[in-house]
Amino acid sequence: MLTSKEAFNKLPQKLHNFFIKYPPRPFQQYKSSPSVTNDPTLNPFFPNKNLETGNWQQPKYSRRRSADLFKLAKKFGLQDLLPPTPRKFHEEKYNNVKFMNSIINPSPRPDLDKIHEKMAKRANAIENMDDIISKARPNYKKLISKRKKKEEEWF
Amino acid sequence: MSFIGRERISSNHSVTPQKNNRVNNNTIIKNELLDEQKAEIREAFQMFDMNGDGCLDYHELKVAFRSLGFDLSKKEVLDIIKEYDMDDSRLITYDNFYKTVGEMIIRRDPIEEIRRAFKLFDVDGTGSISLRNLRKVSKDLGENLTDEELQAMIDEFDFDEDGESTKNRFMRDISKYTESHKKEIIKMKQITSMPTFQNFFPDKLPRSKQKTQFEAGIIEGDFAYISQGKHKGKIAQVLNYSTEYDTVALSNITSQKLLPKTFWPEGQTSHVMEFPDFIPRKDIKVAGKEKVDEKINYIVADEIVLKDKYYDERYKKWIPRRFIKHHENIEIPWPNPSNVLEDNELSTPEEIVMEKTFEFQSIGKSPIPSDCLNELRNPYSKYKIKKLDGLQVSKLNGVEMPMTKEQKIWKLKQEEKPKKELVPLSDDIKEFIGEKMANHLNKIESPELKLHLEHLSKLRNRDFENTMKKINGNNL
Repeated sequence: MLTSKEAFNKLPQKLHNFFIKYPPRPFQQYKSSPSVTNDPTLNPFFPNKNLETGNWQQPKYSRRRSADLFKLAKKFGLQDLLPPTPRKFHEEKYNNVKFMNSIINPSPRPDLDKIHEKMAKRANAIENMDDIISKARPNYKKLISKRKKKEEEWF
Repeated sequence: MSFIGRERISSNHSVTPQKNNRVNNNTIIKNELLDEQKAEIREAFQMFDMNGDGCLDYHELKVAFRSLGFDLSKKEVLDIIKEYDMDDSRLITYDNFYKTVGEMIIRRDPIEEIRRAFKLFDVDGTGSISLRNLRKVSKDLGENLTDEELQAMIDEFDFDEDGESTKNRFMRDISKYTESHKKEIIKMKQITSMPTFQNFFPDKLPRSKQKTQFEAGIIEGDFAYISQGKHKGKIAQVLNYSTEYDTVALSNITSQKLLPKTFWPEGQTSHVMEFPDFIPRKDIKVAGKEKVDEKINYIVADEIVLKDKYYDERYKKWIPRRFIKHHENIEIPWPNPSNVLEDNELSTPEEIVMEKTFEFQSIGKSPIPSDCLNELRNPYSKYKIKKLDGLQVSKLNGVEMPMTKEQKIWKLKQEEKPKKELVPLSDDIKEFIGEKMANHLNKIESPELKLHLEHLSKLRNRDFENTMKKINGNNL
């Protein structure tokens, strides 16, 4: 069993360096959002605005470096001591996936049975076209007989 | 007296050709004159025989001699006419003309001829014929030759491509090429040269092996005994010592070369020209001349040694004395320099030159002007100080832009702000972190994960080391 002093000696230099510059969470508070440069609680993982010049400053620690720090801290159980990071990690990230709209509301797929039924109906109607037309137009029967007369015979 | 390395040679071997007897040389003229020379004599006679009577008068004769390359005085020409004038007509017939000219051609000293021709071209006296010299001579002669043609003329005979006469930065410098490449180029050059000039120049010595004439121990005007080769046993006067080839040119030891008409110097009348041979230094021995009882003896030195320096008034130089090796009581003095300028009424006396140009030297004032010093100094010297002083640095960097009003205000504000100081973690925080870690680590069971964490905690971090340095620096 490790004592707290022995455990501290195992603190990686990278984390130690960071904690010297930005003390752990309960000893100092950090904002979880962009802030202004002269704010004592500014978060080094977020961009901050300089009110004098009106320029936005890049985060002191880039997204990549912050992620490296967080992952290293998590291996030693110190992730809560770091200032809040702009992104999520591991289970938290997995549980907070923001799905695409197309996955939540996929566009409707066509029903094949209905299509077959429709096509069969259409084919049937084309086959019995003459009967259907003559039902609606009685004169159409004459036209049919005329067409039969005109048909050439093979001999 | 009997010394080793000393030979006595009788002085029968005269240096300059003796004057031939005029009476018995009719046959010699016939044999020795070349067909070409005979033709030239006839041509000259016919050309200047204006009235066509078969005889030349005084004026015609003088011009005819001039055309053949002999510049005779009035008295000499009159003497020649008087000698052959039987009937007081004061004319010279073709036969007599032919006899006199033939004799003169044979008697002519080839070396003197070459020297005269060379001097004619070498106007500025540099010892080589440059394009400029050639241009001037061609202009004088009334030949309208372009620069390219003149350059081609020089290139024709510039076998070694030493560039001495034709130095031009656009021309290739053969001395920078490799040996095989050099040979190939010389070979290609020689294809177009006259056959008698092929392999005319000996191999050049590298610059490091070249010696001055004093170092080599042989100088113009010395006597040399030829110990090897075709002319073995001859003693002749040295015309010059070539440092480039380590050879000497000797009087009387010449060979005939064919020269194209374009290269004929003034007064040259035939295609054949006498050129002195290049005799290697190792094939000759320095000879000293000695007069004993009106008999001339030559002392040949097998080897010579150069010892202690002295100031020679004739050469106006510090030069070494020359002795015979192993017989160092016998000195061979340096000969008198050949081309000494004699004082005349226009020359300035030496003491006046000294008085006018002497500059008093002292420790206080350097004789070298201070502006010149930088040019004389070695810019790549290892002793050169490479540090620059403040003024030089400011000159190199230029003036900084002055701050604007806003910048000044901003700077003041920044200075007012409290500086963030780094402080090591307090014990409370350490305790808190340690407790959290202990809670977490004690729960871990997997040995692989434990090993992994052990490794992670041992990793060094440069940033952490820097911050610790800063903290310690603040504390100190």
